[in-house]
Amino acid sequence: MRRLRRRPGAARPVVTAVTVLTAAALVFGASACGGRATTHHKPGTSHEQADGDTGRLLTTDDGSGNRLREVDAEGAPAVTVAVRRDSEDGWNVQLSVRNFRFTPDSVGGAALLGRGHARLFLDGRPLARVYGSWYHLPDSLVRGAGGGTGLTAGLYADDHTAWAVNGAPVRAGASLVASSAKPAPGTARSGQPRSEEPRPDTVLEITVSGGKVSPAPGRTEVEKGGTVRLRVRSDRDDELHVHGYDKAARLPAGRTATLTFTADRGGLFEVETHGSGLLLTQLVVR
Amino acid sequence: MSWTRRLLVVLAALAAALLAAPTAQAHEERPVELPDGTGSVPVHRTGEPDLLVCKGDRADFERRVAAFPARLRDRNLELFDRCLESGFRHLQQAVDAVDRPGMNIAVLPGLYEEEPSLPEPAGECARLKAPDSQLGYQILSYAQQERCPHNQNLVAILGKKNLQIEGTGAERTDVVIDAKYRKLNAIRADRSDGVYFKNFTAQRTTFNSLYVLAQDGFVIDDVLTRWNDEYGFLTFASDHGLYKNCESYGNGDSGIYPGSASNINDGYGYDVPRYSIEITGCRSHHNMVGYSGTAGDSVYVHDNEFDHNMGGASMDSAFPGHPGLPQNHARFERNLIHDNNADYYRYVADGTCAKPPVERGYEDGVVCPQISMPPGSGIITAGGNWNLYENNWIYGHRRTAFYLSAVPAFIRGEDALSKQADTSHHNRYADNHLGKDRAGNSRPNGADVWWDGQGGGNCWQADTGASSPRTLPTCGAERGTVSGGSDRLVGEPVKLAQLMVCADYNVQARRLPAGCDWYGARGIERVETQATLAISVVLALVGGVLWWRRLRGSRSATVVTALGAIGLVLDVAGSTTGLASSYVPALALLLTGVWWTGIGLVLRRGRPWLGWTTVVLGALTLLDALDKAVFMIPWIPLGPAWVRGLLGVVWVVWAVIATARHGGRGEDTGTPETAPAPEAPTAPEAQTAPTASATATERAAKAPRTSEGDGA
Repeated sequence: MRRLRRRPGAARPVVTAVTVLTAAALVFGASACGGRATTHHKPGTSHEQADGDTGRLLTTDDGSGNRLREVDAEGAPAVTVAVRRDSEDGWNVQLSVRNFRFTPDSVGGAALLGRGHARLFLDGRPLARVYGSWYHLPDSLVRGAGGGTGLTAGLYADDHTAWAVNGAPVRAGASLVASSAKPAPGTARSGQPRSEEPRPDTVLEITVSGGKVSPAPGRTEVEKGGTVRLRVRSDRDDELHVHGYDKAARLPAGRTATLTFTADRGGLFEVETHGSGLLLTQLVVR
Repeated sequence: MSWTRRLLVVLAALAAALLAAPTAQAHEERPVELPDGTGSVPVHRTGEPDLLVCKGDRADFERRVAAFPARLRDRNLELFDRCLESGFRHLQQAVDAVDRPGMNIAVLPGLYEEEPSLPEPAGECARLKAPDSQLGYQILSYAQQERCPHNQNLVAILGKKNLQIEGTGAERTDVVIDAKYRKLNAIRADRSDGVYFKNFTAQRTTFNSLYVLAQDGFVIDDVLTRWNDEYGFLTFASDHGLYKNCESYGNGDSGIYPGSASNINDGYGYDVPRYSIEITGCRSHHNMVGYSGTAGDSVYVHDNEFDHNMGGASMDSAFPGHPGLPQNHARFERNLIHDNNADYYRYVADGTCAKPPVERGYEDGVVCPQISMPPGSGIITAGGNWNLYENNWIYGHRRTAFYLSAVPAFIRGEDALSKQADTSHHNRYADNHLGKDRAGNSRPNGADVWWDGQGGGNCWQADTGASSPRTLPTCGAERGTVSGGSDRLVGEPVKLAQLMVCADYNVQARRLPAGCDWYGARGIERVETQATLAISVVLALVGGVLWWRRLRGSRSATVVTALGAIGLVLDVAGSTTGLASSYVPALALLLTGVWWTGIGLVLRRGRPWLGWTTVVLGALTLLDALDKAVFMIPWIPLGPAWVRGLLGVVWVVWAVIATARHGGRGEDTGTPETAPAPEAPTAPEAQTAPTASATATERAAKAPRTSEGDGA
């Protein structure tokens, strides 16, 4: 019993030691955190104020009323343009920039070096602002701008001044025709000059399999005067027929048949297969 | 050293470790006092402007107003003509021309860079004698601000009473005041009671866009601030303030910061005569926190949206030099606080935030979080009292809807012993829509509550979901009624240890504590899991050896030891983020408690002292389980975990000694040992055991530091 009584007695200094050790570790840990707090949180990020170099504003403009902002050639923003014909409509434009960041959210603010947005011009006429490296240029916009093939991109600051080097705006160009005519980087499709055939305004892909039409028959709105292209694939030999326009095409089993026509009359027209008598879709032309 | 003194040392050390407490926001400024509260909230004046500000380019102006509604366009064109004749080209010039109280300045659509304010200080302004802040800039007196208004401010409004500055555009983005990161503040209103700001944007500073200091009466109405190192709106030590329909984003601290709002309700309960600052209709998003308030006292925050920040809103008592500490009487109602899960610490880790502010890319969505805080939280309260959080929608947070912890008084520079536990009381979280958006769709939070367990009178609504601890005091229908309330002097040890590790954040040193899940630690990387795993391994080893050498003979001891093993495994599982707010931690405690109680009863036959100590340890553990999962035990100043933890250390040492001694294998007959005192062989073990097992806190403190090799 004597020993048993001594047990806790022996443990007591140990407890004290552990407690003190723990406390010491904590105090050490705390002091390592930087000492007592002052009136501010620990030094945050540097609050270094900018030196204010944002180029020199020139009196000349870019031809569209935006003044040029001249910067040294070294480290100046730069851009290159590539265009690729889109498979459905218009063009996909890619801008590759150096020493430049797109900052669409601060457009309208002051100019800061190396940031802003791009502008596209078609044969010198303003076309669109671009806030990132990719832009889809629809045919309708090309038409609306009066057509043309000379696409130019320029880089602009948040305050709409044009970044410039040696008195000339930072710009790059690409040709919409050239890129579609020959297979090269930034070109449409290999050896298929699509300009020979008008681009359809509406393309419908329909599959008939086991007597089922996919997608399920519905109504398709078509703008009067627009081009409609039907691409139909049936699992059995059949015939495609567009009522009203009285257009027909053979549907060989397992192959896609294409029927293209201009929707030049208004109204509701059914598209069906004559062999199996299935309704494929309804065209609403208005 | 008495037991109480020893405890105090531990508490003080822990508290000291919270120096850079989470969610603390503050700023360094000349000493200011709260206004006397005799002012009033200014009212918008619609009369003709006294002073006009515009840019001189007519073509540019006409382009800007071309798409305005006809009447507004005509009005602007008319003002423009007048302005060209008799107006100013810079806002500062108009402010300087204010010569009597109650004047109106109209700012016409345009971009204001305030070029005359930009040059570096020269002459006497370059040689001002003033203390430097930790952040490098000088802490200027009011007289020095008057003498050199543009050392730090793009536009300085000093001592102008009842001034109104209003943009005349169709939108607040039509008038832009852009500091281009060249000044600490875009607009500073200092001792200018009754200032009214309306309908413009201020942006891109290295501190605050709109700064209101020591004023009785101000309104911020339909103003946008963005892209600042610290705050969008900072209104400090002010009274009779109103923010409405404002917006702020892209700030390294908070969008809206009513710091040291006048402490007019100190001493009141929940019913108060009025609030010092009202904030309504504002949206604050994509900041570190949407709203923050060191000493954000008596602020009435209602019908706002705080979203897509790292934290929705926070208030704290963590820094000295703020009049009105500890923070109290904020009231949050009907706010939408959601999806505050942004992770901006990655910009600290990858070096983006080490660049000068102008190069960081704030405009592209970069935010450089200035301090340590738990991302994924809705409302954080670090040392606040009498705050009301009612009827808010709080949803879509990965961590928790509500985060509540205490901050001891000496951290804010008050050493009186009686004040050390004066925070984290009477915070009421009731009638909120947790985990649901306003349309009623389910948008759960990771957990609804994280609480360190300290303080009295705090309560949460009965339908609170997952929480840590799993049981909470429940609010009654009336404010002030609480069931299951507790009043602890200090929080749970593991949580304090975690806070200590997490606080060791330093944005300049790019130090992101490795063991803290605030900065992305997951699974075994988390200090809580590491500590629990280490403790469980030690307990498993000690318990296993104890069973092998002393308890094998007892079937019941074998069964409870097996239960204990399951408990230890569950304890590790329960420390992971996914289960921390579930019942698993409490179940682990239950099983471990059963184990200790069981083997204690068996041990007691042969070793009554060790046996009874083990039983007591088991009972404390069961009590801890009860405390965490069923109801918080009232009337005790410390959670059972504290006593349990301390006794656990003793027990480990004791159990090691007991097993190491030569004796009957597999049975403990109770024959008094007759061998000579085994002091020599046990002494080293007695020392190594606690070192190896350590305590959670000690391990927590050491783990990240050694891994980073940085003791600064």
